[in-house]
Amino acid sequence: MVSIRDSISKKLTALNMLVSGAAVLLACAAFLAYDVNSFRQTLLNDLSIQAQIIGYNSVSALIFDDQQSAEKTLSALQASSHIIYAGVYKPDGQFFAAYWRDSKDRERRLPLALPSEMPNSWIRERQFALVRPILFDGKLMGNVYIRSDVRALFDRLRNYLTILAAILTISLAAALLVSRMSQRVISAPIMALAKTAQVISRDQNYSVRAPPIENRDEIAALIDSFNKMLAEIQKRDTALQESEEQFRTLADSVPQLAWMAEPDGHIFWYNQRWYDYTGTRPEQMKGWGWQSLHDPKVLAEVLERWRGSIATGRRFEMVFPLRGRDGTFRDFLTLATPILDAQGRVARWFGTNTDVTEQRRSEEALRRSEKLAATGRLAASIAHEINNPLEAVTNLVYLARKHPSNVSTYLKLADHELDRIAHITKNTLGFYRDSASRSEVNVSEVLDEVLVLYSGKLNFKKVKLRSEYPEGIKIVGYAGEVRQIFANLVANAIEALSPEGCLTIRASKVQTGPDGFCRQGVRVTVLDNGSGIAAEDRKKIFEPFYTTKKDVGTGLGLWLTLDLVRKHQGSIRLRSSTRPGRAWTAFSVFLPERPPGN
Amino acid sequence: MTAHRRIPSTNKCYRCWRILFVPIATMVLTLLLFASPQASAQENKPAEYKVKAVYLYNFGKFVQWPAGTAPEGTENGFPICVLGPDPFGATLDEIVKGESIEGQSLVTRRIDRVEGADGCRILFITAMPKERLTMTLQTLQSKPVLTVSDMPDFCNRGGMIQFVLQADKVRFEVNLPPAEKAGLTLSSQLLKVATSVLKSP
Repeated sequence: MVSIRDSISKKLTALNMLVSGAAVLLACAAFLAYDVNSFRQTLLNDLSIQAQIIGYNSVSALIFDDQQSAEKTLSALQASSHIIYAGVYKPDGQFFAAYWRDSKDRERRLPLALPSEMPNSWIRERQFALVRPILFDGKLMGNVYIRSDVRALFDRLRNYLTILAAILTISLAAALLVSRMSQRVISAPIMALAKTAQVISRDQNYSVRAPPIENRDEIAALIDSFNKMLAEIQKRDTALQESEEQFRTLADSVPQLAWMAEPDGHIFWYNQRWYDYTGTRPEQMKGWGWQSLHDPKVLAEVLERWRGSIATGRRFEMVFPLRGRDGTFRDFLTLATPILDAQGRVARWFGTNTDVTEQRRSEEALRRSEKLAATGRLAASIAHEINNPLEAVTNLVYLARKHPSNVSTYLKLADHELDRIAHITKNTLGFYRDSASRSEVNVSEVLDEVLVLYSGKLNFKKVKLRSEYPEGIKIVGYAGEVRQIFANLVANAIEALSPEGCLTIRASKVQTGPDGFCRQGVRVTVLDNGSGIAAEDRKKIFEPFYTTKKDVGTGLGLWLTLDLVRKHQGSIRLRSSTRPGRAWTAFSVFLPERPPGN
Repeated sequence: MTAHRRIPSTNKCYRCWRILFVPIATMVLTLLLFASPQASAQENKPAEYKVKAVYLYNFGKFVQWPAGTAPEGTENGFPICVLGPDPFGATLDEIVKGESIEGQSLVTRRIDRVEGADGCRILFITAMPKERLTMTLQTLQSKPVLTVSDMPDFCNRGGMIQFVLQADKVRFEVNLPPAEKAGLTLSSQLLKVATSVLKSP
């Protein structure tokens, strides 16, 4: 049984019945009130008329003091059964004659209720009563006092209520019938619509349609709109499925491993490549299951950074190893991008893992080859540096042999030259001392050594050198790499300079790093007034194999420099101008005093 | 009866009356015991005639006289006449004073001879010998005069209304034929209260 709360048709029926019932009830009540009131008036009027008739017929009896005649007149009232009592009184209120409906009361004499004490008529104790004066020839001859029961009124009321009950029953039955019929027009289509909606939401089948109806009312419009909506949903559903299909195909065909996560970091989807590479099953990977694929040594850092990203909504970027199905680890560059909703909150994370193992290997190879090349260049410059004093020593040895008298002088000079060679070799050795571990590095001294190393080239080009740095600027880092950073920058500057150009080297302790974080460190600027670097070259200058010196350079120098700077958690900045006659280039390197986290 | 009549007038001196009640009652009882019936009838008369006077006046209200009984211009009013020695005294005049019927003010006339009854509406005939009564009624025959008397056999002799005493109450009989002959119409209300009504066969 459907309760009235759950059924629109029952509600309609109930409403119909309520309205018609209330209308009938109200109308009947109004009629009843009106009729009872007017009937009461009629009864009173009738009673009044009867009183007057009796009065008129009792005049002679009163005048000629004939009580029997009066009683005879009064006895005519037997004909009207409602009259309980009628009495005739003399003008002074004295009893004269009476009539009682019930013979047992015959001897009772009611005192005349005088109009001055009571109104001429009243209704109480279910009785009407009234007093009428008997006038004859304009003179008061006596009074009639008449009492009637209200049975007539009650009879009428009872009849009325019976009729009312009948009307109510009939009209409710009619209302029921009408609403049953109207269901076919109103509630039946709505119920059909509701049923369709239920079926759709239960089966998720959007190809179902609500049955259309004949007429063109609002329900028809509703059904039509509903069906249109369904069609639209079906269309979108198909489109969504297609798009989803395309996305899966795309996601499975990219070389990367890809995944998606909830805003709280719970990963709910991986592409096929992930499972292919890791050899896992979806149920193993759900949520935070990926941790089993990580190198325990780096897992803590991965988790810390991933949680940081989840908390802040910042893009996640990290290279870490992931174990493949064969049990070996490969390095993956992992990027996770937050996808924001309309309110700017993270709706989900989209992540990719790109295998960078090969890239890393080739970069390593490049690095090694560049180091070798640098070594070669260095060897050449060392040979060049040593060659001059060696030639001088050879000449001095030759002169000493020719002029034995001056041998001591020549030997002194040769000794001096040999000292110079020793100095150079000593410095050069410092370059290549293996510096695998961090140590205190005196940046001022490193700069001195670099300038000594390139003093030959500087002299050859007649470069005006300005060294503007205090002594004893120290940081913690890898000494050999720091030296290589500045050696590369100075070498580039010398190459860029035209003869008699100007090279400035500045270094100072700074408080704030260029990336905005408050850090202690050193900034070294290498400034030359060479040809300058064109704007389009500036962007690519740190990329590997990019060079403007087609014949001499490998294009790896600055790439390696940036690599080394980043290794020290530092930064590099390039400013340049190619304005003719006033061109210049400045590389600023910031190196923190201590690498952060240590 | 005397004592009874005095009750209302002595109301103001009710206390005195209570003091006097015993001796007066004794006197009345003595009077009642020793007085002859004749004397008793004589005592009744004033009250009885007062009632009769009132009735006489009231008959006028229940009787219709033929049109033209009182010609226009006459200043007779509505005369109630008494033929013979007047038994009412001043009572009748007191009752009639200021009253009117059919818009005509009531007047009283005392007449000795029936010939003087012209213009009378109601005629009260006091006791007279039978022969004279017959003559009187013959004279009045067909004239619009309502004849009333308290003589026994008045109706049988052709009178219209005759007072009778019933249980010490003044009542009356009606004889319709002479009234009809005289053109008078007596209201059914009047007939209703009459002790008996003689009708034309």
